Amino acid sequence: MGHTRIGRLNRSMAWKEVIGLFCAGADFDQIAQATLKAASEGFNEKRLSEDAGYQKAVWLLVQMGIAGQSGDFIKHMCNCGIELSNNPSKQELNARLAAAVEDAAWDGGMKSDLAEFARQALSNAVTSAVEKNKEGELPNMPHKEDIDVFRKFGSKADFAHINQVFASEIMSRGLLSYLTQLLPNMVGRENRVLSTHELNHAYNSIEQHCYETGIVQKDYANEWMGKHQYKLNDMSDARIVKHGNFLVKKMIKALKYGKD
Amino acid sequence: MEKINRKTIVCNYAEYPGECERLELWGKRGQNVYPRIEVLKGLFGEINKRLIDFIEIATYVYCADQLVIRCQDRVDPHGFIWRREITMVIAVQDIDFWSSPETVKTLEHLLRFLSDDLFIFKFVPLAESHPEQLYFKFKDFHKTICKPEQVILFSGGLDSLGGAIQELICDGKQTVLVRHKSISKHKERHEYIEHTLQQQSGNKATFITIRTGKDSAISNEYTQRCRSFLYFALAGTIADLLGLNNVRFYENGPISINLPISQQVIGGRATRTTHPQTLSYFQKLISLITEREFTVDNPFIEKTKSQVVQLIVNNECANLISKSMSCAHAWQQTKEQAHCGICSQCIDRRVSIIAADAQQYDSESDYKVDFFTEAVDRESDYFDAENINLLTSYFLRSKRIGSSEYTYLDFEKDYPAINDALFYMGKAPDVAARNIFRLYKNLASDIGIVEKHATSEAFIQRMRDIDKPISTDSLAGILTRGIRKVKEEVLERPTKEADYLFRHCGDFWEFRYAGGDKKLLINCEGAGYLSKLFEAPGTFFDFSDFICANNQQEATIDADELNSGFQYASVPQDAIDNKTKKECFAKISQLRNEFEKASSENNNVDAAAIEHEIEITEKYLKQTLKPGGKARNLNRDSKRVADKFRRNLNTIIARIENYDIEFAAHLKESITIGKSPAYNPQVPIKWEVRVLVNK
Repeated sequence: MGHTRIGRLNRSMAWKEVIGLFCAGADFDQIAQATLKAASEGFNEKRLSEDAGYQKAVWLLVQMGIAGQSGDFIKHMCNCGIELSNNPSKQELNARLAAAVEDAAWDGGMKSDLAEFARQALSNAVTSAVEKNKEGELPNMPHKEDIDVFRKFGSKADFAHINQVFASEIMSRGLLSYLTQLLPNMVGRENRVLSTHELNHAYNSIEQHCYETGIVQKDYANEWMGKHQYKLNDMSDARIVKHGNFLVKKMIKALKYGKD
Repeated sequence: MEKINRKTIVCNYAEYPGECERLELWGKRGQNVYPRIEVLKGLFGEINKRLIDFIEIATYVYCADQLVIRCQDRVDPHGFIWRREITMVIAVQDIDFWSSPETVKTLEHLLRFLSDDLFIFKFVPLAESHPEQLYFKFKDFHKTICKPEQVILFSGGLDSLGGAIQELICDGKQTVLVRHKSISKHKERHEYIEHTLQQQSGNKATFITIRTGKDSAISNEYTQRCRSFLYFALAGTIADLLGLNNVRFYENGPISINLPISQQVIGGRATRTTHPQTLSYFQKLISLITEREFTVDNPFIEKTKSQVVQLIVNNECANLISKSMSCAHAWQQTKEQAHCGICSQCIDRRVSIIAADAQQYDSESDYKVDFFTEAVDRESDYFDAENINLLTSYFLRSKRIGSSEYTYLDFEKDYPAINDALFYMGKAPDVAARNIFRLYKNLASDIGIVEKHATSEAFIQRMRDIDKPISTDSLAGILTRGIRKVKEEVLERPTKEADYLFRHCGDFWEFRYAGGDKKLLINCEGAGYLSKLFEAPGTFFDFSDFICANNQQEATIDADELNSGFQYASVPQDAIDNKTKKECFAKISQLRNEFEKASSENNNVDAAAIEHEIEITEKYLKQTLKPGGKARNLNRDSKRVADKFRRNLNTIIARIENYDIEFAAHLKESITIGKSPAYNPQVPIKWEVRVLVNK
């Protein structure tokens, strides 16, 4: 009990290039580009767009925006299949969202790793938005309830932030799922990686790079929200799918070719 | 789209027309699974049909899980073949109950979460009655034993040992310990533990053993994510037969929740054998089956393994620590060494024993590999390595969590997998989440103790041992990494980098185009060509310039060829000209006529000579003409070199395109290959191509 399966990658030139770049001290944007290329068979725009788990996560993401605008967050989310208590915490919301994405991923046939990335990214997006809204709160002082923060998810700024974190988390989780199959193997081997500190730094840098690249999503989501501000209530599923597809397309493009 | 890893398994002689695998518990026709379950005569009531179905279903699931291979021995970077779709067609006695939507849904969801597989259940009525007593072994019940008060799962590892001590000694309860015996080589250890527990508790323990023998053809997949389902089915059945309504799993919190050690460990790749959600599904299922309120819990959910070890020591059972077995790699175990020393369970075990300061009760020689000092991956390279990855990731996770700057918010962001447990911890989700965080902080502090141990004076003494040097691939090696060699070399770098840069730098090339970000390329032949082209823009080169300049060229033209006056001909020459070709064909035609004439005149001597001449001419044509009739190229080497140049140049441009599209477009536009390669940018560019030198 407690077994953990560690995977490994194939010996393709593309992965060798990733190792080479890491050992040569290349910048993390270039390592991310090389990883994205090497992993393109399983981690690409098309697969993400077609993934039931990813689509459900995007759908819930938009629904949270709509719920925030509706004036009754809990009721709207309940109508979307997310049953919450009267005063839900972010942990409660996250656990319900995670279960909903999990169900959708399996109902769509076979769950994929991409669905898991989407599930985790959605949770991180909520956590990050709540944290952002509670920034500056002092301990032992009256603080905002989580539900009050959820109600702000309908604002342009929060919706854009959630989109940014969601898209960047999917990417960083995806990239790191490959890099963690590769980089720890090199610690202690032929002096390829100095120490666990170096490894930790690498992981953090990839996450940070994805987050910074995700700024394009923030702008895009901001515009999208502005455009659909008054139509959010009758937002069609097809339009949400389109939003999700564009989100991932834009993010992969930004990681491949730079956010500028 | 990738192929789904799909299989249909038909059990209990159910009718199924399609392609499938069969599993049978009975009958001479096709029995391939041989369970053996001890039943206490006199203590148990009659086992009803539904419970018999339950045991059979669980046994079939246990075997199906081992029958269908995931990605064993195959590389599966994207997780395409990790998950499986297993359709179980099972004949059962209580068809109404098992085929009810609620039962099917509960079963499918339980196994989906437990194994990360899509299980589809189809139940059909059992056509033939079958003798279930074949797999029940009736054992006499000692009247001296009071009626059991608790049923627990007992795997023989440290956690379940701690659980047994908790129930038998601390709480003084009459306890049934359900255990699975799969390896007989550890019989003595089992007997020692059993004997000691009986002695210390005043015979309060009742051990019930199950064995699940099966044909070797079934044992394909070793991950066995579903095995706790079988153990639970048996424990649940026994509890019901005893009139009890509770089953206990004893597993420490971090292993029970089993958060991933790194980002690659997605979903069920970290087992969920005793995950709170799994236990909740078990509870729901057994309540449905028995039609009464049942509880399934894990009293150690808020304890770390080191706390469990402490509990064992405090109850004067420390002598059992060395007899307990935690290793997952059963195939590596021997009678003398019960632990491989490198699987996640072995690492956890050693860490917790050291953190609890109980190493004097554990034997180092019981571990095949001592991960503190020995290489954990012998004779493998970085693509094969698994154990070093596991060890590094395990310690890295704890370093991160253990850091004083690491807050609950960081934890929440790093481990969204906690969401799966929050509703099943018996507390409000936010309280449960903070409890899990505290639990992992405790684990990290345990691991911190182990790190200190690995760098303690006693350990450093061992590091100085010349006879048995410490491997760099061991934990000590990882924790005490020296300075990387490349860092010792001070590279002389210009203070301001040029806007156009393309230079060789050790094992790689640096480039920068139009003042953009500096990127790296791994060493390759094409990079050398580019460097040479950039050195002299506007110059028309000969292919031989690149060949002679680059010593790393493969043996396209070897030294002997060059010494013997190899002439690089830029204009390809045909092996035969048209005139000669025509003459040869005319000659063959004429010779054939002569051959026929000589044959008709029975002039064998002339015919043989003519035939010989035809053969020689045809052979010459074959050497000089391609199959289609066109002349072969006389200087193939030169073509080979030109082709190789083109190929390498295109490869390097394609690689550059991955990182800098504009630069790649510029190269495509400015480099002409033809017969004389040249670099002619529209606007003159001064490239910095000087090799970076070491001081």
